Amino acid sequence: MGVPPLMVLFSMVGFGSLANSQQLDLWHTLLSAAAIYGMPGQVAMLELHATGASALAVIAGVSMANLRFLPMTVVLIPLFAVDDRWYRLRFLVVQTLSVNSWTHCREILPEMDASVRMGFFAGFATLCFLGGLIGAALGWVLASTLPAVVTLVLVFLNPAYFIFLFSCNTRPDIVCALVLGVIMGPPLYLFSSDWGLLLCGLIAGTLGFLLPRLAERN
Amino acid sequence: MSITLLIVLSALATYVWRAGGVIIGARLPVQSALFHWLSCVAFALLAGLMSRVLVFPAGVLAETSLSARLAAMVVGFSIFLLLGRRVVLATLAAATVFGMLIYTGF
Repeated sequence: MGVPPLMVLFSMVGFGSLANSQQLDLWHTLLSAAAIYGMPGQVAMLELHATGASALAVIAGVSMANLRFLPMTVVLIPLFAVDDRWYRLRFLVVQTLSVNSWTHCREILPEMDASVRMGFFAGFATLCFLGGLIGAALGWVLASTLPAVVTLVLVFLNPAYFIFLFSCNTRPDIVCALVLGVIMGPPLYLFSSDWGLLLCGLIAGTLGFLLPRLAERN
Repeated sequence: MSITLLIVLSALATYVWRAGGVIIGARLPVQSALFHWLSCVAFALLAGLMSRVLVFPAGVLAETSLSARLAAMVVGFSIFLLLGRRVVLATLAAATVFGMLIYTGF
């Protein structure tokens, strides 16, 4: 249970360090980590801002880079299975949603009593969120003292961890979608850096959904 | 535009996806085909993102060689398969190999 907040912390160390190197002060580093709270979007904001892109281009770039939150939230919310009294609270807790909390809670929540699921998610995701803020602050403070190899390993840790974590899935349709996603992600990014990821999700996800079902029918 | 306002607007542009997910997800039955299809889309999108980050990274990782990143993942994945799907062990193995390779200038 301690690993996910630590992974968020490690990946945010990389972000804090990057933000410092691009002359973003600590307050704005923490603000973007907490308010955007989605690594590809945070990095897109830093890089687009540094290249002098227009405000509209930065905002659109960040939004596109974090588009994954839509399908992630859509398939997380039904697991909460709470009554309508708590509907509004869901809009608050989704701010703490990250790939880490999402992946773990998708595994854990279905095995829990429906009445405690959202409370569990809120606590778990907030712990990850706080880990992220501590990591961003640490990364910013240590930016000039961390050896380059350490920063690189910390940044590498995150995608590697998720690839292995995803590989634990056993549902045939999810496994198929994951394999196709890994294969299609890079070429579709070359095809379109803006839309490649969305295309990858739609094409690989749809094929992953359909192929095992078609194979079962035959 | 001030950087504070830019961050706040960027955050709102991200939150739109989260809020949209709450609105759509509240009407989605867990056992429906649509739920399973969207789960596949979400996982495929994340897998594509992680694979893109490893093959065509942005930021500091772009300074490292593709062969170092892929070799580290191959070692990590071999350990993952051989030692009973232990995620943390596989991640640490991949990270150690990656660190050693870039430290030695590979």
